[in-house]
Amino acid sequence: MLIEVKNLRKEFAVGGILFQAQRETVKAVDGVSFSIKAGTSLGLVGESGSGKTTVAKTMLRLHEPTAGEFHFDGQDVFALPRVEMRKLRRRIQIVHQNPNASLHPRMTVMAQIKRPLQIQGIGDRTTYENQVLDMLNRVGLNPEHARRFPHEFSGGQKQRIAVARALITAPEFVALDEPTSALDVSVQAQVLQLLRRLRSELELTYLFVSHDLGVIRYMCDEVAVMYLGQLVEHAEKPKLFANPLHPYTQSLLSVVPIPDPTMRHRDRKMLTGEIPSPKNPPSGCRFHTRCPHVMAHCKTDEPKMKEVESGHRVACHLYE
Amino acid sequence: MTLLEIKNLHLQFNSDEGLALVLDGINLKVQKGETLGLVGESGCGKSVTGMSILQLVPTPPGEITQGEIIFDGENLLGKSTKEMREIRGRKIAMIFQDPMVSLNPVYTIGNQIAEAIDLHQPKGISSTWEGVVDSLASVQIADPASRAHNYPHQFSGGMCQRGMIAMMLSCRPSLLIADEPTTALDVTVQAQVLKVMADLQKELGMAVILITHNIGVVAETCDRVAVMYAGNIVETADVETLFENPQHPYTRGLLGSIPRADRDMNELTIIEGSVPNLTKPPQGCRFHPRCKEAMDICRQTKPTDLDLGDGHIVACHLYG
Repeated sequence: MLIEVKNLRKEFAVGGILFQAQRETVKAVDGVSFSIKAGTSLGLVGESGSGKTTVAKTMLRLHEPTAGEFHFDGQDVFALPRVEMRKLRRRIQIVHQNPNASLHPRMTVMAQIKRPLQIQGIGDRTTYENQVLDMLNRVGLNPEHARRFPHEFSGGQKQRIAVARALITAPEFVALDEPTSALDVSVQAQVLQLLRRLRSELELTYLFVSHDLGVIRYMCDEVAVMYLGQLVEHAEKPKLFANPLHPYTQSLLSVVPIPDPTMRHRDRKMLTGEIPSPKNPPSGCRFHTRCPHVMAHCKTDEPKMKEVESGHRVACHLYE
Repeated sequence: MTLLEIKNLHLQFNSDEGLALVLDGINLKVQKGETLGLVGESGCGKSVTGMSILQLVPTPPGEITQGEIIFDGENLLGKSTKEMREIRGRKIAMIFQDPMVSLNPVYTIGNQIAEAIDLHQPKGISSTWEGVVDSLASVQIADPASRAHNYPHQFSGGMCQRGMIAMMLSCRPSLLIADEPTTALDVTVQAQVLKVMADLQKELGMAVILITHNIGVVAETCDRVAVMYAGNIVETADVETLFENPQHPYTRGLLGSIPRADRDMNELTIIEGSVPNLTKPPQGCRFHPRCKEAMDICRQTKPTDLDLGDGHIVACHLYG
């Protein structure tokens, strides 16, 4: 396993700007474990506030973890001192959702893609520019784009630049945080196709964070479903889509709009209510407040993640 | 029976970069009681079409230079500000993407709905308040009598949007323009809101123009669909025909570019390039630079609407 995350936790302190006593902790990620095989993609899917982005950012130590471990190729990432961590960043990279925020508005494309090479000391001054031009070509941009600034590009092109910058250090693992959510569907298709091609050409391993089950299905080999900071189900893609076990996954799959009017009258497992606040999550199983199959002990006992068949784990009292 | 007809509507915006021809001769009909989906990517003019019906386009910089908008037999473009105010809310209502922005944060939800009822159908304090509670109940807000005293920040996103719907429908308009009503919501909540809208529409016999970029939502809720591209309606058809037998190359590309959650897709259709800048729109057919089937005539002449039968209208030289 290239990636092994064990019992990852991340808490944020919120509020209490004036009075310490009013400070509350939000358990954004509360005990998440998974592993990813080299060369495969894990999709992390969930609704807003489920903690999926926090998982990705904490793995990269853009947030410092509260607890847990992340082993990358045998190294304990969370234990690495600053200098070592910086060296490791060459091998693990992230692409953020919004390229308008992640690209520097006053740096040319050349300057910002070159920057990681300079920081990491990959090659030397004479080779930087050629490496950048090669990478631009790979992501479908032209050499003359190198002299321009981000505002001169469309949304899809900006995301290509962000991808180029992430891949310039030849990383093995890339976390993609909703990389196409800000894009229109026709442009999303271009970027998704690019990401699939790059994965096979460069033998990359992806953690693909998205709220869009269609995108996850197109991009990933395995899928993990998050709800309120925890994983509720994790399976190989065909198993998850053909046979979702957790009531939350079942509902999610049944209500996602299908672009086919003949499917309009299918059965939908509608949920009532909305995702509760992570400041004050429900006791026991966090999904019990919305679950159609809720039982008495769901309200008190937290279900453990359990492998029900090979390559299919679920955390639900129905399967115990 | 036709409730609304837009004829040859031209709208331009005066921008820093020059004159943008945002609507380039739109023709659209909405029948009583039907749901018309207006789909397209960002910048195609779908929102501006909705806003121009209610004359909400800021003038300047916007200006309607040509065309008619006929609602219930009268041309709305000839109406005075006072006459338009009578129509807004009472006959034609509109909801927007972000309910948190549309609702006033310093008044209770009930207060805001009461204001809408008072303005259009004054009937005394106690029966107005009854109307408020009834309308909140109709959008499935639990415990509507006490929830009416809540402020918008005490409502979740989905509840706010249902509150907006309650407000808009309290005056029983004959046309509701819903501009991306579920785009800001999670899928499980989106399903709830769409269901509430569909049920109320049936009950009130109201027509809906659903403006969205989400093709899945269109397939699930609309009777007819109009596809927009760069300020033109390129294809209109009933929903089954459009999805089964799309004719315009853009519609075909758009439908093929959506990664689907209900089946595995090996390849997505790629529409190369991106949407044109409307200050310098392409000559002839505005889609021709991205069209794989572009011919000489496409570069010179704008295609006219062609009726393929049964209300299936396409604007493309392939069929001319």
